[in-house]
Amino acid sequence: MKFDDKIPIYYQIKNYLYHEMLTGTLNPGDKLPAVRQLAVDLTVNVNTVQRALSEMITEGTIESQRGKGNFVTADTTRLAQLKEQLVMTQLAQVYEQLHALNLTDEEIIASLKRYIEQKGAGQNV
Amino acid sequence: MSNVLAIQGLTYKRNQKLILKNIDLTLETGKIVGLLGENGAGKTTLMRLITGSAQGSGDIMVGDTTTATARKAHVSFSEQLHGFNKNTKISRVVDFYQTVYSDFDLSRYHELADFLQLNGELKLLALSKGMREKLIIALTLARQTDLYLLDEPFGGIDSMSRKKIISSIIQWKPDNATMLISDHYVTEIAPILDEIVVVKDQTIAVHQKTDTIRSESGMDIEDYYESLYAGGVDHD
Amino acid sequence: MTKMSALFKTMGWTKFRQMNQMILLELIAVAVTGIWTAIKGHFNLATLFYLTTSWSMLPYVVGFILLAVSTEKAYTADTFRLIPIEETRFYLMNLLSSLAVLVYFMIVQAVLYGLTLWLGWSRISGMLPPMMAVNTNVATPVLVMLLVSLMTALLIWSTISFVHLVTSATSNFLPKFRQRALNVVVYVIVIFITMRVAGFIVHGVAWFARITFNGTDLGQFWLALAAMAVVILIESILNVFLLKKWVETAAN
Repeated sequence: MKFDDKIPIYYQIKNYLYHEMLTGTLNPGDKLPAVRQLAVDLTVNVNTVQRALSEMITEGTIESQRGKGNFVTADTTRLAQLKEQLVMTQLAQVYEQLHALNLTDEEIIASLKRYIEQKGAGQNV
Repeated sequence: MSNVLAIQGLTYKRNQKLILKNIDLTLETGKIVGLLGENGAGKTTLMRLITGSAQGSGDIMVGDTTTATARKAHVSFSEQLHGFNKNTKISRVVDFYQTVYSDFDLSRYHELADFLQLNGELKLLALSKGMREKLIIALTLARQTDLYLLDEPFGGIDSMSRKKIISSIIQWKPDNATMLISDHYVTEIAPILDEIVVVKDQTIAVHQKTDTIRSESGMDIEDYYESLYAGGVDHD
Repeated sequence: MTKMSALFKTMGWTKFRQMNQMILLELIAVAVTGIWTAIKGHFNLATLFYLTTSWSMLPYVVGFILLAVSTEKAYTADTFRLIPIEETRFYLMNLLSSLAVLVYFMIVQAVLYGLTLWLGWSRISGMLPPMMAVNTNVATPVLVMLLVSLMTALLIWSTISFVHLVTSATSNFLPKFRQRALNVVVYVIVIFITMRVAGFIVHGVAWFARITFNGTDLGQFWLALAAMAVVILIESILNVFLLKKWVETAAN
């Protein structure tokens, strides 16, 4: 995986794992690869992986079981929350940028709808 | 967290020319640290002072040892094998390491050699630059010690070899050991570094965590490193 | 820490191989010249003995120099100096492994001499002057000769090391410009001083021996050996000191 060297690596590792969890590569309750294996796969430092995982354990998206390793939480409401949180973060960015172009909230909704229709039409052809 | 390396007031002169001046540097255990600086800034010299290959003034502690002789047992340096005849076989070099270093782990060496695709029957003179560097990495990492010093392990080698070497560093660095890697082109190793140390103007200009640099400056490590040189006006 | 025996083994091995190459070259030289003699029709049972004795000096000299080069290389090569062992032990093992290999070379020569002498004995015995054949006590002179040659080897090696380590230490210290010229001066001065000191000690001892033993040959020999040992010891102490304090390995 390629990292953006401007953004803290542990943060990008978290986002990578979130993505794996929400797209179903890692299902609720699945075991995560060992820390060193993850470090090798992602070509990052073991300590950085450790930091990302600790933060995820603290926020409850993964669970650490002594001697067994780390598992994706089986708590589906927590995962739903995570998904909601990620969606909101993405939308916040778009919203900020569009707002900066002096679009009103109604205009933003309208343009988003227009965009989805066009994209949908493009894909149907 | 305990320290693996503690340098205090280290000064080094060569041929009456000041190379390093009054350096203080402390490294914690379990880290991978990039040692950056221009060619000739003193990166190699700093490593040679730690191993005792160069003689400076000041205190250097590795673990709890202070004398150069005792330090050697705790430091694994990527030495360039110049002490061997060019027609020495790799397997002979491995025997040498196994005999003189009590912390050399032969099974670890074989794992590394398999991973890096080293053929023990080859002679040193038959090795390409990349192969030779892989051998040096395998020998250096096969020792089980507290501090690893890799001096420019990526100099002039192809990207495939470079990736292999980086992978082997991640896989084989013991958890509680610290590794100092010198390089003048940081981008290729930035993702694996916990911290960077920059040698500039005969001293340590910066010692900082990489993720702190990223979050505080919003710059990538290479840009941040270059910005250290852009600002000042040097007349030397 | 690395054991002395491990270092001795490792250092000895490389030197051992070097010496074996010398022996191999010697054997090839004897064989080739032997065949040449046979082609010219002058071959007899004693030929091999004559050829071996006349060729053996060359591999000895070249081997001696190669051992000196290996010994010196170890002092400034990271490959050796990174080994965790105290400098005195490092120095001793380096010197002793060279000596051991030199003894090995001498033994091989003795065996070759013995073997070829035995082959050609019927011819050679007839040519020996009668007094040599009846010499009763050969053991002592041979032992003394052997000791003198080994001590000489140690003395030459430790002197070479001394010159090498002094120039190595000063070349780190002195300003870079004019360093080459200064190096030459240092070489000359150090060699001169060493020669003078060694000469002074050896002469002093010889004079002492003359008045004490009143010309007893063997007594003088022992004292000369003791004098050499003193010089070797002084040089070695200085060498170890230089290794500890000033000598750096060659940068990559």
